[in-house]
Amino acid sequence: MRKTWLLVILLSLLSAACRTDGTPARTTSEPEFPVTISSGDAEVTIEKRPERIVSLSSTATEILFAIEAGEQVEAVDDQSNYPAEAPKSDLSGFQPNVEAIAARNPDLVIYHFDPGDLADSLEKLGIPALMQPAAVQLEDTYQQISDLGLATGKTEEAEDLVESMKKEITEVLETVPEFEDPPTYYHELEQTYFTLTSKTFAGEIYSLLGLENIADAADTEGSGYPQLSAEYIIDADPDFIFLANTKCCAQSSETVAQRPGWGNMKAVTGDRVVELDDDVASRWGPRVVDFLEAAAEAVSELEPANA
Amino acid sequence: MNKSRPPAVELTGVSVTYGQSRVVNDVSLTVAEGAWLAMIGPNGSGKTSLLKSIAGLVSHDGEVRLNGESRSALSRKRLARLVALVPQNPIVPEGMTVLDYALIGRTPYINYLGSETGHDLAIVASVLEELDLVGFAGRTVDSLSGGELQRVILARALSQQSPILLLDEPTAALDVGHQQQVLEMVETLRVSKGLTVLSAMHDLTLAAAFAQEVALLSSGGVVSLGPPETVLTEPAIEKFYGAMVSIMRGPDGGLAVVPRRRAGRPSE
Amino acid sequence: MIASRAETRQGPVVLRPSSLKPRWLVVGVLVLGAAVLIGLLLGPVALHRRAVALEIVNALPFVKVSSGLSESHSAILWQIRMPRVVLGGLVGALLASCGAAYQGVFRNPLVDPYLLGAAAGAGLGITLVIAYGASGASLLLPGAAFLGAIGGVMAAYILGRSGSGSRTTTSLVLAGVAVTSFLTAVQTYVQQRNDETLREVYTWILGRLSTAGWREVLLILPYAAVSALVLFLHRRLLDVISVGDEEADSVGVSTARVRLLVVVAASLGTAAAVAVSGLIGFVGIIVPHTVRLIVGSSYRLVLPLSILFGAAFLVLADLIARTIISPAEVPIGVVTAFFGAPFFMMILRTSRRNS
Repeated sequence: MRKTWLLVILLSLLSAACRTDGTPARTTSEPEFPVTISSGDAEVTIEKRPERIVSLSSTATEILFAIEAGEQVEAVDDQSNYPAEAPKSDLSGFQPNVEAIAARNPDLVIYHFDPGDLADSLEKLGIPALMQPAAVQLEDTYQQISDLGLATGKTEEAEDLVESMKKEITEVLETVPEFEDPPTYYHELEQTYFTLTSKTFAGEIYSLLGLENIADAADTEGSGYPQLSAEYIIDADPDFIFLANTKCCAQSSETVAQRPGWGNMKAVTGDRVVELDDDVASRWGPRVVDFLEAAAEAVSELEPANA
Repeated sequence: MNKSRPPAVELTGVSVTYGQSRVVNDVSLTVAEGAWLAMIGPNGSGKTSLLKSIAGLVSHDGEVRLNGESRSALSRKRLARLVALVPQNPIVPEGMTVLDYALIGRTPYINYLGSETGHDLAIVASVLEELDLVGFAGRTVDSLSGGELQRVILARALSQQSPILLLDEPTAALDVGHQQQVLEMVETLRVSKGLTVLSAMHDLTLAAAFAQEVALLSSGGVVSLGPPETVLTEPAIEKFYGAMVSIMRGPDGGLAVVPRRRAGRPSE
Repeated sequence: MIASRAETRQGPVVLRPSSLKPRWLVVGVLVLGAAVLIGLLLGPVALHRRAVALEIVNALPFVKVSSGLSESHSAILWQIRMPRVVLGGLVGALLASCGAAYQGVFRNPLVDPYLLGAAAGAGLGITLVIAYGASGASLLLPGAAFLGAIGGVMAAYILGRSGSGSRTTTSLVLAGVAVTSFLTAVQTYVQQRNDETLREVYTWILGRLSTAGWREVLLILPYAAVSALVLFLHRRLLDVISVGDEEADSVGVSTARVRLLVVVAASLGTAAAVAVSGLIGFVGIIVPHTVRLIVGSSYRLVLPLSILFGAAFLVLADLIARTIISPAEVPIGVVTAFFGAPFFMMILRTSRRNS
């Protein structure tokens, strides 16, 4: 008994001695570094476990903290508002300033958008950069989570996260009734009637719920983000209206009901205008489950016999 | 001349300053009602500025009295009914017809938001007749030749029916025939309607022929004032214009100012 | 319509000054009516012609017919399309008449209602609200645009009226350029600092009638009425001041006062138009110029006809904007710009031919 204790103390002391930044020793096995992860069209090799991560992607920030890599994060961009403890800075994810990023002395930069020279500049400075573009389907999310797990040495936590997400999604989908005639929906990104089609990430979530998108027919260019007009939407009279502009632009079921001509739409009279959290509906991280749950809740209230 | 009525135009110590330069310097003169005063002088002597100051278009020191009243006491409309100015280089609005342009002369008689009456149009029609412009009534002013335009501008001024007429180089763009026609017309109107005419002119012979009084301006001041014979002398013209001329009497008794070549004098 | 006889060597003629003949008024009203009708009938959603006609007849007092339009189609007609067509007409009438008025005041057929800084001022106003306003601030946008437009013109006027005589118009134009440059620079800076505003500001700058409802129509109506009325009443005076400041003064008109009144009324109208519909360009130049080519330069015709034809033009331009890539919309400023380019080519060609 005493020998075991001594061994544990000795091992702890040894691990503690190897610490350089005072974080508590981990009890799981050391993950393998260096790792090579695909980054956009290329690959990035991370030599050792990063401890000063700069995240320029709000989704990546959410993932990092969900896989318990929060302590390895030095700074996050100005849009990363979740979770609250993330070290928000004034770095911009859309107009990244390489000098400002380098001033943080990062050992890994995660970004989702390169306006032109970000990757090159970071490479010249010898800073490893991992690009995680916007997910197009749910599978991309799971891939990005495990990539980040690999990148931070939190592979187990990443695996656990993916598993629990899959489980929750399956559970939620079970509560949703099946419809013979799929109910239709309109997902509003902006009051100028910019919307998304079922080919997008959010669109996939809605498709999982068995919903049909009124914008699919209008997306002649296949951009995935067409602009509709008020007339078109009123004529299509969708069963559900999902608002993804509640936080930025103060839209709500009341404001929608007051729009000229919208007052008699069935989604308005049937109280099926769903106010979503802008961020939850636009990111592709762990909170996609929350998004699915919010939509599923609305759909469950619809009687299966109608459409 | 009727001495019991106030002079049509009376200037006292009028000076006009543009920036640093004084273009009209302490000018005082009187023009009796119904008279014709020609202002002569080399370019830059202040003739145009003097005319503008009488019309109230430039700020000036000194006083201008019109028909005995101080000009500054008159409203803009009343002043326009009293004084009409024919400018030397007017702006020619694109696309405006001659008739519309002449009708602008009736503005002092039309209410702010009102429009012309048949009476206004009749007056303009008769002015156009007198100036032989009726055929041009529908043409646009920017399509006219220099001479035709000059007559149209005069038509606009005459439509104002003002007793005082200020002419700034009225014959500059006209051929000799039209020069004569215009000036004869002004003279006829002067006699028939008792107009008072002040004209800035560069043609000295014409000035002598039509004006009863001539004022010679130089560097903003009046250096000589009186009947044509007194003012238009060879030494004066040589001194102020720097030109050699011969002053002669024409067969009708009028003065003729004839430029001479420097090469020889008539007596040689 | 006054007329007078006069004698020429060839015989008597009748002289008639420029005035608005009833025939032109009728043409204008008919064109506008046709544009409105087409605008109501066409759109992203197909509505039956007869049904639309019956709906409109039903709206007349004491008349009750059933048009057969479904409730949602009826809502589209009355709540979306009709206010939009009416708003397009009001904005077009305002922009065209204010453009004609500015051209009269500045004696230049190519000046625009936006010349004195109205556009830049409005742009800055809405950018500030979009960037720094709380999320409910979109209600403030029309007010911000309006105040910005007025502010821009005032600044240009204060800076530029120091010139005198014929130099006044030049100095006003220069002041307008200075104000526009400065305000645009500030706006660009604010946009750069708040790049999430870029899309919304850009949409607004290109002009849109797409969120029109009857509310916007009511908002703009009083300003439109006052502005159009003042400009209409000044149509003869615009002709008078076209002979130049000095000469207009010499026939008894206070050119400075006329200019101030007209600029104020035209800027008010432009600011109101900009407040509800963003920056729609070219209307203020294309319409008055085309009217001049047809009926001549007298403002007695150009001003009233610009009101009618300006309304018709913008209704038709908006029709194109909302149907050509339906259900998406082309910003209406892009449509008018597409008209603008060939228009200026045509002017260039005719002026080359004339000179």
